[in-house]
Amino acid sequence: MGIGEAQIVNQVLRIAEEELGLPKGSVDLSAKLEDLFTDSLEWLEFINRLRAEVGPMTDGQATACETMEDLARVYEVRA
Amino acid sequence: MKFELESWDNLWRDGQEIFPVHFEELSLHKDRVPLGMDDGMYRSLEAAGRLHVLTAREEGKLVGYYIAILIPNHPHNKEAGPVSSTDMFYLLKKYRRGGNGAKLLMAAENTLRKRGVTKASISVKLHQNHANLLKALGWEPTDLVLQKLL
Repeated sequence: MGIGEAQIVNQVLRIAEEELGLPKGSVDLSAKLEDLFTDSLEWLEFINRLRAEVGPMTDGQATACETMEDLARVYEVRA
Repeated sequence: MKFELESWDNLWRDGQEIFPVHFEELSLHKDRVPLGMDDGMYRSLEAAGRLHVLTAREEGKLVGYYIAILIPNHPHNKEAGPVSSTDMFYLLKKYRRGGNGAKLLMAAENTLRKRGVTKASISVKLHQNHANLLKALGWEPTDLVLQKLL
């Protein structure tokens, strides 16, 4: 993984931890979104924050992601 | 979870267990307005190109749906293009995680848009009010719906 990709991964994980009020380092790439987010509004706010701070993500990409790794890969492709 | 446009026939076949669960959870006035899904009416709407059926499936099992009824234009706006009215949307409780509810609505918007719908309408029950989610998805509160048993 290149430096750019590692930064993106860290940013995605940090945003998830902040949105969920979880300690730093508690969310990793294997985490399933259905385990992290029990509320759709909470999930949507997380996705919109990724869009604002990391980069664009289509509805189709957001809908297809089931894990934190899936989300990171949306941006890694561009890194 | 997969969200796909399907035929009414598929939903009718696979939805027989979910429809009563949906009805029980959300419907009002159950004693006066009992559940009685009109298969024939839905088939007529579909044959006329007026039905939009989006399913949510988990490993092939139907776990939710979004249905809309379409008309070529609102009678007040004949040049404004097709409009849709949400008939019903539902996701089994067990699957309301990981943003699946939002994903179902996002898939509904995108498939309606691809179908040429220019304006979509939706309503929510006050006792299960998803307005905040819909507003976060860009839906705008415009009307207040009231009902009366006559």
